[in-house]
Amino acid sequence: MQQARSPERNGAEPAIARARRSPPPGLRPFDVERAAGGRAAPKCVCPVKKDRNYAGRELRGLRGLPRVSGVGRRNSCFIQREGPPFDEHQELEAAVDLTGRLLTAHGQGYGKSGLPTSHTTDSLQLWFVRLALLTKLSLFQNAELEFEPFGNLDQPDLYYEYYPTVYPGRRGSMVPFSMRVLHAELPQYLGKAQESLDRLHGMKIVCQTILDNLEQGMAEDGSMINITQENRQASIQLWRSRLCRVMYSMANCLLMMKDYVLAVEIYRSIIRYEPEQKPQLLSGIGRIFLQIGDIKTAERYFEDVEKAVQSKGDGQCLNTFVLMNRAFVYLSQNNYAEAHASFSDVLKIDPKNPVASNNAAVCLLYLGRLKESLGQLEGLVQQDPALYLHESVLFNLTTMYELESSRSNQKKQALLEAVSCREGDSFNTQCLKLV
Amino acid sequence: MDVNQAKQEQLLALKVMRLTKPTLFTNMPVTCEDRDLPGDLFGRLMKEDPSTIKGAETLTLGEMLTLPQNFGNIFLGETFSSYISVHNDSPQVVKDILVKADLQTSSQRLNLSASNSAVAELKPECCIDDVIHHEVKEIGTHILVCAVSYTTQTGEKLYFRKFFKFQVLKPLDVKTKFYNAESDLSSVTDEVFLEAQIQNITTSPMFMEKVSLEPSMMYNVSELNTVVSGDDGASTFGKMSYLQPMDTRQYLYCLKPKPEFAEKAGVIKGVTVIGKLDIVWKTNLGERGRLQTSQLQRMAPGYGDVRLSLEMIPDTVNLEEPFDITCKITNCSERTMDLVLEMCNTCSIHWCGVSGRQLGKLSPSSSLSLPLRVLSSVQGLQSISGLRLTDTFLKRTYEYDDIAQVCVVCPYMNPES
Repeated sequence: MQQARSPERNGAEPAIARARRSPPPGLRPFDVERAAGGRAAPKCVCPVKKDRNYAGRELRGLRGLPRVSGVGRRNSCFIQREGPPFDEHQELEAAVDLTGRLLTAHGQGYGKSGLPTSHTTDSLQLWFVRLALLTKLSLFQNAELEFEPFGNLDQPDLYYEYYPTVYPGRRGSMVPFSMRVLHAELPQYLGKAQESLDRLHGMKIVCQTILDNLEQGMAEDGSMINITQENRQASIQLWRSRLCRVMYSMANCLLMMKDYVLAVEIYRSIIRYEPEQKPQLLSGIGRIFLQIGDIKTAERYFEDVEKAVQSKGDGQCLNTFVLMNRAFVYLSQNNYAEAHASFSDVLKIDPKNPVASNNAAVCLLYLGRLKESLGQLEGLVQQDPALYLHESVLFNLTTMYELESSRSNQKKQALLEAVSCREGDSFNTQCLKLV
Repeated sequence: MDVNQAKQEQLLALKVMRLTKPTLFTNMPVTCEDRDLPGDLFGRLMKEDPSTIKGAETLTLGEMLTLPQNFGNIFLGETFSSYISVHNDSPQVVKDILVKADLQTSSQRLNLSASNSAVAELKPECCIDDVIHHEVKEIGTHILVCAVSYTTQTGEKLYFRKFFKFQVLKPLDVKTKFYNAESDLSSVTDEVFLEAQIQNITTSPMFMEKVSLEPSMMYNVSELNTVVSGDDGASTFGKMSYLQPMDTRQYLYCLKPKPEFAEKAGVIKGVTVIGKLDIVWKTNLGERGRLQTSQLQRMAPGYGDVRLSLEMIPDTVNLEEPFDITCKITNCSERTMDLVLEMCNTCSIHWCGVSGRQLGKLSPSSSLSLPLRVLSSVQGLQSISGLRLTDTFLKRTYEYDDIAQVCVVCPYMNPES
């Protein structure tokens, strides 16, 4: 990752260069050398920047970044015991760094590529956290490289049975389910959506089989081991939620692939498992239809949302859903004035709704009211940075700065300063369009 | 958009932004289970993220609107909308500001400004805003020309222009095919079927809101793109009425000449105007486009001087059993004919009756019905051929082969086979 000079006080142009969507330059490609007879140890390939001293870091100087020394190397549950390694400000890069060090303590990680290794549930959890953080940081290529030694997550050394002395009598895979989800979701961010879909289908079948086994009175793996009713119910619930998670991923992936027919079908089938998410899901499907341009079908879904929330009888919730959806329909009919009114109505019920305030401001721009729109967004960011220092809001704000004034760069830089005071290292400065 | 900067030092700045529809922000869920190492941390991060859907955080399609990122593509039939903002960058008040926005195409220049009157004064840090709309009706290079003229405090008149160039692309590829249905047993009119192949050649999915045929005055049209079951008709294209990029869809229409033209149906000749296709589509968040094809023309099938059509024929007949057919003979020429009918057998079709008989005189545009009897000596699908009409006035012979097909079956079960 290239580091940037700190901005000079005398108004020289800010030098912020963090290429978020590409892997840091200077990284050697990860070579998977497999030692004969032993499994290659997974290796951390994402060195975390050693010298970071751009504006944000300097301004934040005193806030105290989490340090490895301060957290301790007891890997198990370090979050609960020692306080989060990444604080409220999402110091995700620091957290990635930390996982690397903790893995070193497990004999894995930096410089251990190709050496024989043994996994434990703890080390795999650490790997999961690390890979999840890399994904969150959009460092997809790094995540993919680090996932590579794990293969398809079904190698023998990832099973309890491989370590009979460490886990006597335990059976099954040590790989956390969430790590499998991550592994399946990752390829789609690298342009390999079909591969994601294949993996997710595989996971769906496993979840479905386990659920069928449980419902037919067997144990998860289909054996006739007796489980108590209580455990069975808990297990059914767990696997149902996992099935839903996988189905969500499939639908999201299909949506990314623009296969709207299948995506809508899967979102609809999730409603069966998660009835309490019905209004959100139906609204989401409605928005998919708006995206395609099929407003009539979208309206039908939005009507279903109204019925669904009415039967729930939550007044405020009902109105938020209804008004929000109505606003999107107006928007799709090119009626920005009514759309703006509906978003404003949401704010009457729920004044702190960041989506409604942002969207209302966007509508104002389409109505030719740039100054007002800008004023509102700026006000929001200043009053409630926690809620509004969000990529999407800042992107809109900078877009409007560019339209409004020849001095947009100064204004953007002011935003950057606001961001650097609050946000963590995971913040994507690209949305400020500073180049 | 290409920008040509004015070189002179100006007090006002002009900014232009194309207003395509905003997009919905999508987020990227990273989750874990409670018993995993991060506990509820990832879940909390997602709940706190303002762009997620509360209660269904793993749903990626959010509700947060983001402004268009770039100029994008613009297609014929879409509406070009643009924000034009003139901002006073200087510390002084500027007077008599006139902002003009013109769109220059290869063939014409259009004025798009909402108002053509000057603004009296513009204070520092203030702007004049305008949103322009224009339905794009030409393909190719378009140039948006924005001109700003104003007067400074010292009375100096200043003027500058900016040019923004963009290309208008073709959104659809439309191919049409005509199929002539010869008048059959039930109808006396000649129907024409129009197949329209519509291909989406843009890069985004397209919702086809309307694809209809506006017939010319000679025809009535019925659309054959729904499957009627009960009260409501379902589209032949299924539930999702959108076209993915590069996908093609076939629309089918049946055109019938109106009764007043139907009488002359047998004698419609040459090029006729059928009508035009009207296509309305929508894309992201209701971005609308509309195209009309030029008048579709069809070459009426030439029937020659004498047209022979079938009025009645059985579909299935028994082997070696005579069956009846009825032919209709129409004089399409402009003179009276005196016709003689000859019937020639083929290897499978055998005509019953007298060959070489006189049919009498047939005046122009009139027709006569001719019952004939025939039998087939071969099984299977057989073609009726071998009719010859000779006009004794001009000694001209017209041949009619392959006029229809019948299925010839064997009525007896052969126990040996």
